[in-house]
Amino acid sequence: MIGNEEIEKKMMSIVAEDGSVEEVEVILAFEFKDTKKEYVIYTKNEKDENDNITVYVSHVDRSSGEPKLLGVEDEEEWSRVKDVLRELSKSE
Amino acid sequence: MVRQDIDFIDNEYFRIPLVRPSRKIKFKNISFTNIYSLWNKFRIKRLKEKLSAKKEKLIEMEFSGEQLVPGKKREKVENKILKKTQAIARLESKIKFLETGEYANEDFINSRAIKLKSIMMQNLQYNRNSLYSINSDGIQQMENEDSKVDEIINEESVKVEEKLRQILGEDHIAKAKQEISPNTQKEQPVPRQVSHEEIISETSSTLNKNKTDDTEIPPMISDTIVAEAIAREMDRNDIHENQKSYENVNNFINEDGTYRLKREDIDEDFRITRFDRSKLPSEENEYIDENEPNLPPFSTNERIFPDIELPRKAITAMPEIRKYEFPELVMPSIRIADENESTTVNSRVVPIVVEDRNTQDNQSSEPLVGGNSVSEEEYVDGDIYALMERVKVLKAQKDTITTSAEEAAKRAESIDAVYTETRSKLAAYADSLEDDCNITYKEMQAMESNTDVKEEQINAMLLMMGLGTLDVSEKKTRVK
Repeated sequence: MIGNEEIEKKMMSIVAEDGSVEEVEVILAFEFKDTKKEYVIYTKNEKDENDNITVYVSHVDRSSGEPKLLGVEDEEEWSRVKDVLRELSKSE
Repeated sequence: MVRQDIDFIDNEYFRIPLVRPSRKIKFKNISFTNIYSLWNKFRIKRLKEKLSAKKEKLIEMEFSGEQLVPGKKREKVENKILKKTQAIARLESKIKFLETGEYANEDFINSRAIKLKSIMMQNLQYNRNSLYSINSDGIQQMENEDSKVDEIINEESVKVEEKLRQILGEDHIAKAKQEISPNTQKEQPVPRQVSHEEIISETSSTLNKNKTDDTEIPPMISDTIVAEAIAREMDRNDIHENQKSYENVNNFINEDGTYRLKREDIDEDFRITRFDRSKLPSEENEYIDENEPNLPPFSTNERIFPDIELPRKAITAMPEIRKYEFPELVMPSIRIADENESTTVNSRVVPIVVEDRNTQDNQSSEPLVGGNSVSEEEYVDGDIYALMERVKVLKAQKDTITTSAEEAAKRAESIDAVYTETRSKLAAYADSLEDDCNITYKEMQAMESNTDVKEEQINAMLLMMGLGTLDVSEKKTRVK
């Protein structure tokens, strides 16, 4: 795989509140340089009728030692994340 | 740009709990693909870097049985290469010395060798695909590349030889050979020459110092080239020129036979520190300074020719000093006693005659100091260094003379004591003899008078008895 410039998918196991575990694929992970906030974007390979793909964005909180996924509550923060995704989606 | 505000990361996520619901967003297929590929490129690049570092480490390792252990093969190859590069660095330093006269120290040579080694190592082709087959292919590759190192070394040595040929030139070599002739040496007061063979053998051994059994260093410079290099060096150093031709010698020797040198060429022990070409006088006598000290020519036996390794100082002979000659020590003369001179208190004269020691020894009225051991005319007035040297010599002389004088004084004192004692003993002996003579004489007189008295008594008795008198001849016989 390495020789063909391909790499294995990065999978992530998400544990829901009810304890169920779901395997998802991580398509992007980044952090802002200024805030050092870590975000993970993952997909469950869900497509709609227009072939649009739904992706999920969560903030990775490591403050308690064990990482956990939080939502992006702040709208300004969410706007910033969307700008990043928008820009990355345009680059080739 | 927003892109510059973020850093991609590639962490591991194992069974991460979802505390709050994630935000959703929809992308078109192409947008999704762009994001996905961008991040994957980042991941691939990161992974490659990790693997490359691991691969480099693996290349250095070798199998010991079934286990990978830190490799000695690479270390051996590197050490081998380092030995060769050290030889090359030494050659380069020799060339530099021949060109400029400047000697490179050991640190420079070692640094140069290490640099050459790193360049060679970079040029070696490592088989990166042998990451998973390091046991055989990788090692074999390294062994094959070792021969490439030898090729590089050989190429370098050829280049060095070419460079030497360019530096030396044929004309200089012929000139050097022509001028080094035994006849020329006889005609001039030249210092001792180190033989050509000595220089060549020493240089060759230095150049081939790294030869060991397990290395395959080819002979980098032949003896012929070494000889040419040495001849060139002798030309450049001008010391050789001075040896070779009488005309050149005259450039450095004054008419009175003393060398013409600057004070800065000589250290405090009057040894030449460096025979610098630029300091030698030209034909126009630009460097002649009347006030410079004129030192006697160098001794032919003690001049040391600077070799390739360039000693720090050339050793020359000290200025010669004439040997100090001590005159013979003269004892104070003993008064001669006259034959009729009275030496005792008694009226009876006992002549004492003492031999005149001065008739045996050299009688000298000169003071007990040595003559000038250093000729004054060798030094010029105002020459402080010559004066200092003279002071040194005179101080040494003074110490010697003082010691001798003290010893002579002690000896005179002891002799005086012995003389006085002996004289008194002799006088006492004379007195005792005289006393004995007197006593004996008196006894003799007493005996004679007694004898006379007795003789008269005998005659008287004989007369009384009517027997005549005693014969006179018998009397006289008895008395004597």
